[in-house]
Amino acid sequence: MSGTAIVVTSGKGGVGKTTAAANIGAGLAMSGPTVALVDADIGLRNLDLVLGLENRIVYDLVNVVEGGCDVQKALIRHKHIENLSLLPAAQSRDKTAVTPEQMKALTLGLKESFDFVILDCPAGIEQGFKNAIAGADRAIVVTTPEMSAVRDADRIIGMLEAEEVKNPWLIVNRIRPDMVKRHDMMNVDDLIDFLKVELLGVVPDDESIIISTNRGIPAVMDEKSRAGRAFLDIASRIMGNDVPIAATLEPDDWFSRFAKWLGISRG
Amino acid sequence: MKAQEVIFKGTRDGLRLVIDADENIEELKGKLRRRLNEAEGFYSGARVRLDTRGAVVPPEWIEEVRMILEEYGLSLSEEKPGQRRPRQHAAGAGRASAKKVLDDGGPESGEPIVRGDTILVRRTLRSGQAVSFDGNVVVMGDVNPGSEVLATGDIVVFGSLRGMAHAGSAGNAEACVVALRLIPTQLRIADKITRAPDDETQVPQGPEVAYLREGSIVIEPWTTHTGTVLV
Repeated sequence: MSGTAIVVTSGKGGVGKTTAAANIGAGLAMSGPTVALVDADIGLRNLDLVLGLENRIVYDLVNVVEGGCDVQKALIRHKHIENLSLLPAAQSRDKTAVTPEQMKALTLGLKESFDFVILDCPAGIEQGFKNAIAGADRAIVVTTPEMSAVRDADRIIGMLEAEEVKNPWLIVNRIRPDMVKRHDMMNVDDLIDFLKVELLGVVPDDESIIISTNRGIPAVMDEKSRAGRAFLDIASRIMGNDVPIAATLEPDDWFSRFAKWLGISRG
Repeated sequence: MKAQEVIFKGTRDGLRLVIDADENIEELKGKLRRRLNEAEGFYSGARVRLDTRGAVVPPEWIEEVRMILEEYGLSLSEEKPGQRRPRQHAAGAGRASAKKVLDDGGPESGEPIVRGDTILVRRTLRSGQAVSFDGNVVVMGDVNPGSEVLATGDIVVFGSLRGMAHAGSAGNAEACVVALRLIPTQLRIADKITRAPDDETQVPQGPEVAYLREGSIVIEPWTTHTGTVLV
């Protein structure tokens, strides 16, 4: 049996690739399948921090690729989520330390023992990007509703198609429903109309993400986090379940505002 | 304009790679790679005939070029430009073969189809992708911002043109640009350049044509002899 390798990419930096990769990986693992998260951002590793596993790193991806250690030895099991493992990036090296062929072989090897291999891609379109997508079966393109991020997403989708990673999924991150309603932010329909790819999910702008990132606990583990719930839905859709996408995400009628005022969160 | 030493040209007999035999091979290889990288798999799968502009080039050169082309998924046709097959004259046969190409390609195939002096691009051009062609270009899809279409002839976009289009790029002032939604970031016809107004404008409701009238680029609704076409 062989798993599926999914690369999380965006082109532009700072749109939430690492957060998305961590939460999708954690969300998938929480629902049953085994998941390996691979930090392909060599030299600027972050995924270990977001998962709260920084102090457990002994070996990294470059060690494995260079044959210094067995991949099973380098994988770090998550402290709370049993099915989730992380292959951290090297921090003291850079993108030229590995080649696309080596990444392809590594990904192929991981697919043998995991149901899902989630690759966290670095920003940019250079070698780091080419390394990360080399072994991927599918791609998730993360964007925010800003023109600059959407433009970069378009570029990335074109490059993915050229590299034969077809039919990418799109995640629109950091949507603010109130701004969309005031027409101060692009709405998801316009974005899809422009990029013409399949929408995998919409994640609201949520302060709790910053808190959970700093604490090293993925937002999907926090039942109260709206972003966490959006990522759980995304994980469920990847598993093939039909979960409707609530495009506006937040009910904005008088009742929910009243409930919010009272501090009640509606599940 | 400076002559480009390495250029893909669409001709009646298919795609032709024109190289300058005065170049040194290393430089030539670099230029070819750059061209193919720009095209990002656009020409992948195509058969290419080598045109040395009549110059005799060493066979090692041809081998080197072949290797690069194959690396990018193209193949080099053995046929020399001098030994062209006689063209099919029967109109019916021509149409049948054109149809066959379309059938083989399928609607999702991104491979461009070259017929006569026109290239048919059956996909959306995304940011960073470019098509340049010595002839007319038809795009069945969108031309997104950050992408470019260059044609020495006309440009037709069966979709939204939001990127840059340059018709009549070799100086043909009769060239025009037609699109179902003509909202380009910049439009060039022959040696004239125009850009989108800075203030937000309305999206056109139908297909439009851009052409040169008295030395400036004008945009009008696309009309036929039966009247305006509304989409």
